Amino acid sequence: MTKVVVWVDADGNTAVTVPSPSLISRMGGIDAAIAYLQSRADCVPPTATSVSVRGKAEVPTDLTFRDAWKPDLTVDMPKARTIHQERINRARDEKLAELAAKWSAETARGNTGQANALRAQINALDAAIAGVNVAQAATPDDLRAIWPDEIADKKPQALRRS
Amino acid sequence: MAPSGVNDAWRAGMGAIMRWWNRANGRYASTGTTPNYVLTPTVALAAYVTGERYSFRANFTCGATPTLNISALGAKNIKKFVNGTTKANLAANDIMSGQAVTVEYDGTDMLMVTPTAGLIDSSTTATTSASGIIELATQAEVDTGTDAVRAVTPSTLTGWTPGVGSVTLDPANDEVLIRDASASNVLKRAALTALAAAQADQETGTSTTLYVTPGRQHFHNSAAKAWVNFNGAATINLDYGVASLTNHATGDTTITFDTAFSTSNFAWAGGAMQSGDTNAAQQSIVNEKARTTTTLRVRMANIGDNGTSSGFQTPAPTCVVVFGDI
Repeated sequence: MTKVVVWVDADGNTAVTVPSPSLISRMGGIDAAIAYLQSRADCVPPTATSVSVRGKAEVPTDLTFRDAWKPDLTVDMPKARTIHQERINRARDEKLAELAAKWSAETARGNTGQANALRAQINALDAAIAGVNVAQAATPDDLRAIWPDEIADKKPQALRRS
Repeated sequence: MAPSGVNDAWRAGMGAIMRWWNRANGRYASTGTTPNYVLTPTVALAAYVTGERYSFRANFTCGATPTLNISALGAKNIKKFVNGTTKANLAANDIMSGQAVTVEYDGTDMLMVTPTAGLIDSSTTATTSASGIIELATQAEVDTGTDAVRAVTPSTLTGWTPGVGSVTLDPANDEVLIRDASASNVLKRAALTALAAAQADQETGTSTTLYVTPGRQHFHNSAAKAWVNFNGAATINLDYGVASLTNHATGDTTITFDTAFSTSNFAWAGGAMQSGDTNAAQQSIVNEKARTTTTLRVRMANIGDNGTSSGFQTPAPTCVVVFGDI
C-alpha cells in the first residue's frame, strides 16, 4: 500500500508529502521510502507539526476545498466557507467589471435602453450575491451547490467538474 | 729396512687405498630402513671428514628427509642444492632403490653429489611439486590450453591465440571480461577506468574517445537531472531524480530532488494541462515560488479566456524538468 506523510507546514497548511516511484524502487519498499523522507529536513522539516503517516488512499481526490484540509484530511468547514465566499466575490467582481464596462460604452453611445438593461443586470447581480448565505452549508457538497446563476459563466473549474 | 718390511708397508698402503676406493666408488650397499641409510664399511670409518665423499648403493627408495649413518658415527641429513645456493632436504623418491649415490660431507650434512633420481630418470615427468624431465609444448598445444605437463616458451606465448569466444563489459566493476568459447569461463579481466567516462569527463563534455555508461550519462550538462509528471495532491505518475513531492495547498507543490545541485542556479521548465480540460482557451501556467539546492517549489495557476487569473489550481498533469550541475 502506498503511503504519504501528512503534516502542517509553517504557513498552517496541511501538507501531503508523497514518495516518488523511483525512490520507492531504490529504497526497496514504501516503508523504507517513508522513513527516508522523514529523515530529510527538505522533505519533512523539523518544524513540521501534526506529522502522521497515512495510506495514499486516504488522501481526497476532490481538491475543491484543498486549502481547508485538516491534518486528518477532512475539510475544515469554517475555512471552506471563507474560501467559497471569496470565490463568489471574485467571480462577482469580474462580472461587475464586465457589465460596468458595457454600461459605460452604451451610455457613451446614448443607447439609453441598452444602458438601463445593463443597470438592471448589475442590480440583480448585487441582489443575488447579497442573498448568498454560505453559513447554511453544512458539508462541502452543500457549499459546492451554492453558486448564483448570475455568475454561472465565472464558475471555477473545480466547481464545474463537480 | 728389510725387504719384508717394505712389503708390509706397501701392503698396508694398498689396503688403505682399497678402503678409500671402496667408500668412494659405491662398492657398499646400504642397509637400514627408511628414512635412515646405514653404511658399514669393512674397516670402520674413524670420523667424518669435511670434504670427503662417500658412495653407496641405496637399499630402499627414500621418503622425505633421509639420513646417512656411516660406521655408527651418527646419522647426517642427506641434502641437495636447489637454485644453486640453497641446501634443502631431499624429497620422497629423490633416491630410488638400487641407485648409486655419492654424497660429500660439508661438516654438517651429507650433500648429494650425484643427481637426484628425478634428474637422471627420463621416465619421471616434472610436475608443479616434483623435479623431472619436461617437454616443450607446441604452438597447437599452447593454443588448445589443456596440456598440464609441457612447458610454454616465450615464442609460443607470443603466438598464443586462446579460444576467445566473447568480450563483455562488467560495468559494476568497471572491467572488460574476455571469455572463452563456452562463455562460462573468464580468460582475462582488464580495468576499464581508462575507457569509461567519469563524472568529470561528462561535465567537461569534450572527449570523443571515452564511452558513456548508464551510471554516468546524466552528469553531462545537456542531460536533465530531474523530471516529474504529477497530478492531484499525492500522485506522481513518473519521475527521474525526484525523491518526493509535497503538496502544500491548491497549486502549491515542492519538488525534492534525489541529489543536491552544486548551486541553486539550476534551470527548470514546466507545463500543465488544466485538470483534464483541453479547451485551448484555458491555459495553465507554472511559476516558481522558491528554490534551494535540493528543492523547487512551484505554483500552478489557470489563465481563463478573459485573460485574468482565476486563482491557483492543481492541474493534471503537471510536468517539470530541471537541468543543472550536481
